[in-house]
Amino acid sequence: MVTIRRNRGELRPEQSLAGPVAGGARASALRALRYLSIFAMFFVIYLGVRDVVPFSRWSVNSLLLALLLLLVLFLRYEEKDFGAREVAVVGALAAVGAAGRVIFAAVPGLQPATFLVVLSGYVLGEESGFLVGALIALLSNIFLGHGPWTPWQMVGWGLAGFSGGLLSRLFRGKVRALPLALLACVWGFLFGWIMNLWFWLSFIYPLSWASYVATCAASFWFDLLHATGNLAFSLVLCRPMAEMLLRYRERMEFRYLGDGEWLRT
Amino acid sequence: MLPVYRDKDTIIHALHPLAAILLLASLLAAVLLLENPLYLAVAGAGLAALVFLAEVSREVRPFLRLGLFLAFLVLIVNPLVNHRGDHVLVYGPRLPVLGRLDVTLEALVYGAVSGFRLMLVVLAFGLAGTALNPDHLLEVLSRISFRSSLSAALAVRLYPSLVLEAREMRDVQAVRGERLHGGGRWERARAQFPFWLALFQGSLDRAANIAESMTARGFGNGKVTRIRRAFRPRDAIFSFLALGTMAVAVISSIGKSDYRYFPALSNPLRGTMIWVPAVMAGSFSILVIVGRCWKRWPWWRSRI
Repeated sequence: MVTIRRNRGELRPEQSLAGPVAGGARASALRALRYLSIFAMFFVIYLGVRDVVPFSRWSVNSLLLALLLLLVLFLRYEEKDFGAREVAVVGALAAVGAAGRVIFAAVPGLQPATFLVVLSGYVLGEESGFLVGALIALLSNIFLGHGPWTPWQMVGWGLAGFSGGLLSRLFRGKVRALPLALLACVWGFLFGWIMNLWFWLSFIYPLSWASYVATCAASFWFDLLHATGNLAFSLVLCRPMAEMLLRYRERMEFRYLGDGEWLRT
Repeated sequence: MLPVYRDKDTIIHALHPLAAILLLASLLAAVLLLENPLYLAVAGAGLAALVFLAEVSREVRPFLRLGLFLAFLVLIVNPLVNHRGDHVLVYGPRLPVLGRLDVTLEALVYGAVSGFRLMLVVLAFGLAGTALNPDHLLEVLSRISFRSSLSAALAVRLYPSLVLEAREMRDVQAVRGERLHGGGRWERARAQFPFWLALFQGSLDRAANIAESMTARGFGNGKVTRIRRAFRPRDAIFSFLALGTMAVAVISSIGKSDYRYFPALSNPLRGTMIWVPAVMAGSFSILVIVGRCWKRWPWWRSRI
């Protein structure tokens, strides 16, 4: 970790390396917008359940819900007020994940992106993990084709990254290959089920457990391949990649020293 | 790989990103909300007209094929899980979970219309993907979420250089005699891992360099500069008509035009809201006329 001495009259930390801290009105506005979006999500669900048109059309309702959930998580990332290093590393990881997805597009179900997203969330935190996942879907679909599935893929991979961050809290940031591999494996199925949810809500009638199970059964082999691929990628690549990410984090970390503190360090 | 955005001299390509987003939203609203197959067909014709107006009919062909494939899946799955309807075409066997596999005319028609709807949605995204500049769309996103859109912009910029780097690394591996294509599965997989690790390491180094240069250029220090794009009369016309189409779709879904598939199919021509397809057809026609005039007459182009 690099320590930087700060004299009187120098830039405040929030003005320099770390980027601006969302203080005061901006932070409050972002938080208010986030709470409003969460409220809107519940309201949309309520209207759908109460059969209020057009919210009772689950194709529209689910799309609205997915977009609102993305807004909530994007705003959460925005509230954190990350600096240049986080912004840059998220962009770079999203580019690697998108490249991996495009390269492996020929093999249905095999997605190296999921493992990378879970690992990013584990090392960089929930918000960054979410953003890496969401951006991988957004970027790779420029080449693989955007469609009504894009918001759902963003939600699926975004939540995978977010869950990686939560898992890291459980192990206090220490890299554990097996739990990570298991989480990536579980996300192989969860991701498929989230995508099936979109398909089921929008284009299948009637909306019953039987029809949802039938939809999931149709994609079972793809989901299994996805989960197995994630497990294999995680077991082989987890340690070296996690070390590289940790090294990056450490290299870019710094702490401001107060007046005279540098003499004591 | 599907075709990506290419700049062209059409009114759709020249739209303000906000007007473009409204246009896409109105198409999606129309396609997702309209139940009557006749109204849906009008929305499909409007979408096709916009595709021709944007001169991307060749580019959206792969999207059309993809949409047809997905529509076929929907057509197959629906009659298998949905056994409602008065007119049974085939009496099927009884299966666990799925129940009795009777195929009804109503379920078949519902599956066909749902498939058509899905194909139109894919086509609408195809139009957006090939005719709307992703950089301009990111600009709009940056107003809501600055940091995430900056990360997205960085990812978009890093992707081509990453692919180039990957190609170079492949060449180096091939020169060193590693079997990337031939050999056994294990040998091929083993050759992949160092490649991915090197690519990953390279991208992290690049991220560090970018972070340093962003910091050196004062990232987050002061207000963000933005490009201001003029909202021209053509954008106002497109936005107004898009909002109108969206409103008509919502009103149609609330009103009595609701088409019923079960227990028996309704007549698509019977309904109190026959003005809905007429209004939509009128809106799309105006858009096409405005767009064609924009293309042909420099005077008109300069005015709007």
